[in-house]
Amino acid sequence: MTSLGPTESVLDAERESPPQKVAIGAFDWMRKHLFSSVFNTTLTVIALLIAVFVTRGIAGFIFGDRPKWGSVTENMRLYMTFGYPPEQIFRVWLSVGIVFALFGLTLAAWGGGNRVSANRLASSVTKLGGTLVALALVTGPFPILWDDAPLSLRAEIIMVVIGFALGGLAMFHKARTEEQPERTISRTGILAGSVVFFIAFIWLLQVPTPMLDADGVYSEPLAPLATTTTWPWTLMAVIMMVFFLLGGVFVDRRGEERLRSVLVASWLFSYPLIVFVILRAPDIDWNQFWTRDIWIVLGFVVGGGLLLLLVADPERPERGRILSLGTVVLAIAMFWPLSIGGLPRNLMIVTAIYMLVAPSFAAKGAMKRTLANWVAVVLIASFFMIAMDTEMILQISKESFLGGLALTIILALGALGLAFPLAILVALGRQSRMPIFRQLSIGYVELIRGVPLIVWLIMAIGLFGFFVPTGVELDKVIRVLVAFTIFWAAYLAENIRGGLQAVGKGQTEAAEALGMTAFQTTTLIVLPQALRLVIPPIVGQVITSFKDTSLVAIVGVFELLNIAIRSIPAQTVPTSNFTFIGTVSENLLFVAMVYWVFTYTMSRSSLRLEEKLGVGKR
Amino acid sequence: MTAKTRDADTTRVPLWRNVTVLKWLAQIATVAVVVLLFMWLFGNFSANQEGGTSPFSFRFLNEPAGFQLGEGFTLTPESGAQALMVGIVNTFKVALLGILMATLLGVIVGISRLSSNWLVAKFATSYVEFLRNIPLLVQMVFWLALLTLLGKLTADTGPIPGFLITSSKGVAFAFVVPAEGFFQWLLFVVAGIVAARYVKRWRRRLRDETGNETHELSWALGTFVAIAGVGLAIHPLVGPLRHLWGALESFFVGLPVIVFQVVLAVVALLAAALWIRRFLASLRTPAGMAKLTDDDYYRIVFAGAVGVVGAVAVFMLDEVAQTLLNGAANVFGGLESAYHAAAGWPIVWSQPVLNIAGDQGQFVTYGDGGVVFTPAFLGVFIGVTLYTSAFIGEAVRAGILSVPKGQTEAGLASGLTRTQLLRLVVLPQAFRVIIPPVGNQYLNLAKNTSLGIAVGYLEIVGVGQILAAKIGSRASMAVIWMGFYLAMSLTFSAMINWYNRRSLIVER
Amino acid sequence: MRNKYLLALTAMALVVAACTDSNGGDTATTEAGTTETTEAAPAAGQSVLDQVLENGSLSCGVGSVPGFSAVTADGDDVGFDVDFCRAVAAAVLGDAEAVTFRTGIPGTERIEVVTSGQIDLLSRTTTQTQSRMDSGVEYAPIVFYDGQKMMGRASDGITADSPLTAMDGGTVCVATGTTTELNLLEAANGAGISVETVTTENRDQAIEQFTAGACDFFTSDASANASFKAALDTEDDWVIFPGSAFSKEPLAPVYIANDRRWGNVIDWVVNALIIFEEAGVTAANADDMAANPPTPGVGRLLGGEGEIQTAMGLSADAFLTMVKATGNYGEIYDRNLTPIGLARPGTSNDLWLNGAGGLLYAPPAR
Repeated sequence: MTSLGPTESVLDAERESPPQKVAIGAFDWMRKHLFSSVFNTTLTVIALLIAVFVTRGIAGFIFGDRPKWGSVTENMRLYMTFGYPPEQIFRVWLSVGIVFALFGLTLAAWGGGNRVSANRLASSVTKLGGTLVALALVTGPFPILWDDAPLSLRAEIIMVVIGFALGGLAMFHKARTEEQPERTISRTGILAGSVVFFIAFIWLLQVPTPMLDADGVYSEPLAPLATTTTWPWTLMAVIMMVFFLLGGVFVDRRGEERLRSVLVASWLFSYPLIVFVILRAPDIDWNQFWTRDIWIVLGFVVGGGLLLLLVADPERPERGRILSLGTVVLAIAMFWPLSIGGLPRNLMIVTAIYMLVAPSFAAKGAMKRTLANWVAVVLIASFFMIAMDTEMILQISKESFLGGLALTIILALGALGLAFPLAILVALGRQSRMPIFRQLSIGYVELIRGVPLIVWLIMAIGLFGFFVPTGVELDKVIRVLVAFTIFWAAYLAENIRGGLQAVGKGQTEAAEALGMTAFQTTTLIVLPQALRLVIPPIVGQVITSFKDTSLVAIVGVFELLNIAIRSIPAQTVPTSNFTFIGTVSENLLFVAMVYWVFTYTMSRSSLRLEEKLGVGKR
Repeated sequence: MTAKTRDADTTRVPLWRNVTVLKWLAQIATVAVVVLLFMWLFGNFSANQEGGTSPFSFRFLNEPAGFQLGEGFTLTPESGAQALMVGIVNTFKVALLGILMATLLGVIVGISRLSSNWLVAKFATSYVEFLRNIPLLVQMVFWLALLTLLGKLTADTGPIPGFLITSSKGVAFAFVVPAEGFFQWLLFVVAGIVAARYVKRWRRRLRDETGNETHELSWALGTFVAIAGVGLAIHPLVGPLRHLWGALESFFVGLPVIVFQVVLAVVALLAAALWIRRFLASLRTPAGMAKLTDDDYYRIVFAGAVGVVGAVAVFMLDEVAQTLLNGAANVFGGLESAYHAAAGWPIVWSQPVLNIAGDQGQFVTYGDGGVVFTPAFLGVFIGVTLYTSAFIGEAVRAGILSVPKGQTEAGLASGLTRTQLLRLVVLPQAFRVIIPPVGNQYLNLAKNTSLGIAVGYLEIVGVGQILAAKIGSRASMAVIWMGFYLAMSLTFSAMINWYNRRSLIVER
Repeated sequence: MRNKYLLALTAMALVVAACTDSNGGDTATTEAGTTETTEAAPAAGQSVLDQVLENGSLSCGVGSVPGFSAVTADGDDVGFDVDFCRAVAAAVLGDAEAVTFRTGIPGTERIEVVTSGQIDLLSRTTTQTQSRMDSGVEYAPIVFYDGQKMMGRASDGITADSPLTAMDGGTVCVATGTTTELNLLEAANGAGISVETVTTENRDQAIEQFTAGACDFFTSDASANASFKAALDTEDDWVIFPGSAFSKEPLAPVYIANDRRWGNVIDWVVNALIIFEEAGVTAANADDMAANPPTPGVGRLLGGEGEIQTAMGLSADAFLTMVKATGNYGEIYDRNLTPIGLARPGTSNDLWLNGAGGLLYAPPAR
C-alpha cells in the first residue's frame, strides 16, 4: 500500500517483480499498524471481532428472509415526491435536470481544469477493491468459520474477483508509473468515467421486485430497474456531462470569474424557479396579466427608477434618507390603514427594502448599474409573485404539493435561506454597541436555543392558529418552515457571531477612518471576512438542519421519515396488491441510508472547501 | 465613541444628524415594533381564546390526571402536576444515564480515532461517520424496531437468568439497590466526601511544602472508602438523629407561609447583592477600580433585577412558597421515618424477578427486582447515547489534537509510555479544550430526549402531549415546556460558563 | 433641484395610484394576494357547501389505517374512509377526484381542525361520543359499527371465545393517550383483572411491539385488529377475542356544527349510498336504473324529479354521478374492507333489511 522508506533501496534492485514488493510492504505495514505490541494485537483482534459481528449482523438482516425490500423498491416514487401526480412527473425530472446542469457548470467553474493525481486515484481504487474483498469474505460463506452466510458463495466469489481485479489494476498502474509519479488525470476524464460507470450501473442493477403469485404468496425476484427510471437518470448524467463540457468552453473563452458570478445568481434563482414555477405549475391568468399586472409592474419599474435617482444622490444624503423612509412608511401603510394586498403591496415592500439599501452603495458612476439592478429586481420579483399568486395546474390530492425527499430538501434549503439573513441581523445585533439591540438579540438566541426544536414544531402546528387573526390558515409546510427559520436563525447567528468576533478591530477602525458609514463598514468590510471564517461551522449547521427536517414526521408532515413509518406500513392488500405492514425496519434502513449519503457527501465537500479556501490557515 | 467626540466638538449638530440621537431613535423604534408585534400576537390570541375550545389555564395541575402512564415512579398519577413530575423525572433519568454512557463511549471513541492501530482508528472513524450523519429520530425509531428482534420473555430467558435478562419486553439486570438504612448510610457517604476533600487539600499542601509525592488522590479515595465502608456496618449509630429530623419537620409544618416568604425574599435580595459585590470586587485591580463596560453594567442591573423579581415573585406566588414549605417538611418527615433501621446492609444486591401469571403461566413480566429498562426507554437511551457519543468523540479528538505535538514528543523522550503520556500530559491539557463543546453536547442530549415521544417514552413532552389532549389546552402546556427547558438550559450554560471561568483562572 | 422633487412626488403618486386603482378594480385579486393562505373559517352565513363549490375542491381529513385509508405506491389515496370523501366530492362537485386529502392529522387534533374550518369533512374512523357531540361538530349517519377487541396468541391458550379475564396478569400494547387505552383500563377494572400496559406513540408501533413479544396482547378497534391480523405473516397464531366487543365504536364522518346545508349534503350522501345498496343500484347499472327506477324513491335520488337535490344546493343528478364514481355502500365495503378480512354478512354492518342483525338503515328519500 505505502512504500516504506528503509525498504526502498532494496526494492529498487528487484524492479522486475512488483507483486513481491507489495507483499513485503503490506506485511511490514501490518506489523507496524496492527501488531506492534501485545496490547495492540489484542485491540486489533477485538476490533476485528466487533467489525465482523456488526457487518455480518447488518448483512444478515439485509439479505435475510425476513425483510420485504419490496416495500422500498415498490414505493420509490412515494419516497421521492409523495403525492406528485405521475403524469406530471416530467416536472420533477426537469427540476433535477436543472440542478444537474448547474452542478455540471459548477464543477467546471470551480476546478474544472484541475487535474487529479493518478496515484491518488489508484490508491482509492485499491481501497475500494480491498473493501469489496473484506466485505465478501466477512459476509460470504467461509469454509471453517461459518457455513451459513448472508451472501451466496457465487456472489462472494464474484466480489472477491472484482476486488482483486481492481486492486491489481491499480497496482499495475502504480508499478508502470513508478518513474513519473507526478502523472495526473484530468477532471474531465474522471467525470466522464464516472458518468459511464453510473449509466452502466443503473442499467445493470437488479432490484427485488414484489410479486404475488396465484395463491397470493409473496416473493421478491430480482429484476432490472424500470425504463421510466433508467432513461431519465441516463439523461441526467449526460446533461451533467454536457454542461460540464460547455462550462469548460465558457471558462476558456471568458474566464472563471464570469462563470462563477453567473452561477451563484443561477443557483439562487433556481430555487424559486423550481419550487414555485416548475414544481408548483402555476396557472397564470394571462388575461389579468396583460390588462392589469403588467401595468403595475411597469409603474413600479418607472416610478421606482425615478425615485432611485433622488434617493441615491450622494450629494443630498438627507433627502435620500427621508424619501427612503417614506417608502417604508408607505409599505407599512399598505398593510394598515390602506389594507391593499397582492402584487402592489409586495412590490412596495421590495421597493422599500431596495430604497433603504441603495443609498449606501450609490456612487456617481454607478447610477446606471443601480438602475439596471432595480429593473431586474422588480421584474424577477414580480414574476415570482404573479406565479405564486395563482392556482395550480396540478390536480393534487395532498395537503401540500410536495412530499418525501423533495420536501426534505426544499424545506431545508428554504428555511436555511430565510434564516441566514435573519441570523446575520441577530448576530450583528448581539455584537452591537447599542444595548437594546443587543439585549433583544441575546434574548432571542437564548430563548430559541434553550427549548428543543420539537417543542417549537409542536407549537407551530398546534398554536400558530391562535396567534394569527381568525380565518387566516397557513399550510402545514409553511408553518414548519417558519418554525425552522426562526429556530435555525438562532443557531446560525451564534456561528456568525464567532466570525464577527474574529474580525480584527483594526478593520473596522480603518474603514471608519476611510469615511465609510457604519452600514458600509459592516456590509463591505466586516461581514465578508466574518462569513468566510465561519464557513465550516455553517456547513455543520446545514448538515444538522438537514437531519432535523426529520422531526416534522412527529407533527404529521409527510417527508421521508413519516412516509417510511406511517404511510407505507398502512399499505395493505387492496391498496397496492402487497401488504407492507410491519416493514418499518426495512424502510428505516433505507431512509437512514438516504440521509447518510446526503450528509456524508456534504461533510466531505465541506472539508474539501475548507482546504480550498484555506480557512484556519491564514 | 465617535458620536460623543463629535458631540463635544460641534454643539450645533442638528438633531437629525446627531448619531447618538439617531441610534437611540432606531432602538426605541425597534422596541416599539417588537412590542406592537407581541401586542398583535396576544391580541389575536385572546380574541381566538374567547370563541376557541382551548382554555388557557393551569387548573389541570391540581385536577385528577385520569390516565395511566407506562413508565415512571408512579404509573397512576393523582394529579396533572404529578403526571408532569413523572415526565420530568423520566427526562432526567434518561438524560443523566445517557450523559454518563455517552461520555464513556465518547472518550473511548475519541482516543481510538487517534490510535496508532489502523483497524481501531478506522473502526472509530466509521462509528463516528455513521452515527452522526443519520438523524437521531431515525436512529431512535430504528433501535426500538431492532429491540423487537430480542425474543419473547419466558420464565427461563437469559442470557444469564437471574442476572441479565434481555427480551422484547426490555432488559433487566441485577444491581445494587438501596435498602432499609440507606439514608442513615448516606450521612456517612456525605461525611466521607467532605473528609476526602480536606485530606486532599492537606496532602497537597504537604506536597507543596516538602516537594515529595504525597499521593493525594489515593489518600482522598482511601479516606472516602474508609468512612463509607465503616458506615456500612455502623450506620444504625446515627439512627437517633431521627429526633432532629422530626423536630425540623414539625418546625416546617408550623412555620407560617408569610415568614417563609420573607426569608426567601431576603435570601434572594441578599444573593443578588452578594453577587454584585463579588463581581465588583473581581473588577478591582491594584491600580484601582477598572472602568465598567456597559456589559458589566448590564450584568449588575440584571443581577439586581433578578433578585428583585425573585423577591417579588415569592410574594406573588403563595402556592410556590407553600409547596416549597411542604416539600421541606416532607423531606424531613421522610428522613425521620428512614432513620429507624436497626441493622443490616444499607445497600443490597437485587436480582431481577419475573412475575408469572396466566392459567398456564404464559404471561411473564418483569417484577420489582434489579433494574428494568423498558423498550421505549432503551430506544431513547441507546439513541441519544450513541448519537451524542459520536459528537463527544469528535470533541475529545479535537481536544487531544490541540495539544502541541512538542508535548507528546517531549513526553515520549522522557520515557513515558503511551498510556502514561495520555494520562499525565495530553489529557490534562486537552481537558480545557474539550469541556465547553462536551458541555454543549450534554445540553443537546438532554434536549434531544424530547424526541422520546416518537418511541412512546413518557418524558415531559410526551406526558405534556397527553395532558394537552385531555384538557384541550396546548398553550398552557407550551408555557410549561418552555419554562422547564429554559430553566434547564440556562442552569446548564451557567455551569459550563462557571467551569470555563474557573479553568481559565487555573491557567493563569 | 426643484423639478427633481416634483419628479419624486409624481413617482409616489403614480405608485399610490397604481395600488389604489388595483384595489378598487378587482377585489378578488387582493384576496388572492394573501399567498398560501386560504380564507378558511366560514364567513357569517356562508355554508361550507358554498366554499367547496367556490374552491372546486373538497378538503377531507383522513388517517392512515390499513383498509380505511392509505396511500398507494403511486401516491393515490384509497380506502373505506377515503371513498366517502370521494363520494361527497362526486355529489357536490361532480368529480370524485376533486378532493384534497389531509393525512396525518394527529388523533388529538382531529376535532379542532374541523371546528376551525381547516378541513371541510373528517372521515377518519372517528367514534361518536357524548363529549365530542358538544365540541362544535356534528356527525353524519354511522357508516361503520366498530368495537374494541383484544388480540392475543393461540400459543398462550387464547381462543376466539376467551373472556377478558383470560388476560389477567398479561401486558397489553396500546397507543398512549388514546380512548382505546381508557376503554381497556375500564374494561379491565370491570372484569376485575389487572393488566399492565406498554404504551407506544402510535398504533403501528404497538402492533410491532406486540408481534415481537413485547406484550402478550394488543388492543384496538376490531376492524383494525382484523386488518393487522390479515397482514401478519403467521396469521394463524393470532386470535381476536372476546366474542363481543367491550366497547361501542360507532364510526361516522364529522362536519362542523350549525351548518345544516352542509350537514344535509353529507348525511344524504351516506343515506343515498345505503339506499342504493338496498335497491341494488351499482356503479355499473346506475344509468339503467336511472332510466327505469325500481322504486320512486330511488328514482328521485337518481335525479328523476331532482327538486330534492336542487333544494339541497346540489345538481339534480348529483347522486347518480356519485354512485357511478364510487359505487354503493356495499361496493365500497367490498372493495376496501372485505379483502382485509372484515367479513360483512351477519355483522352489525350488514343491511338492516337483510334481517341478519345488521344495523345499517337509511331514512326514506322523499
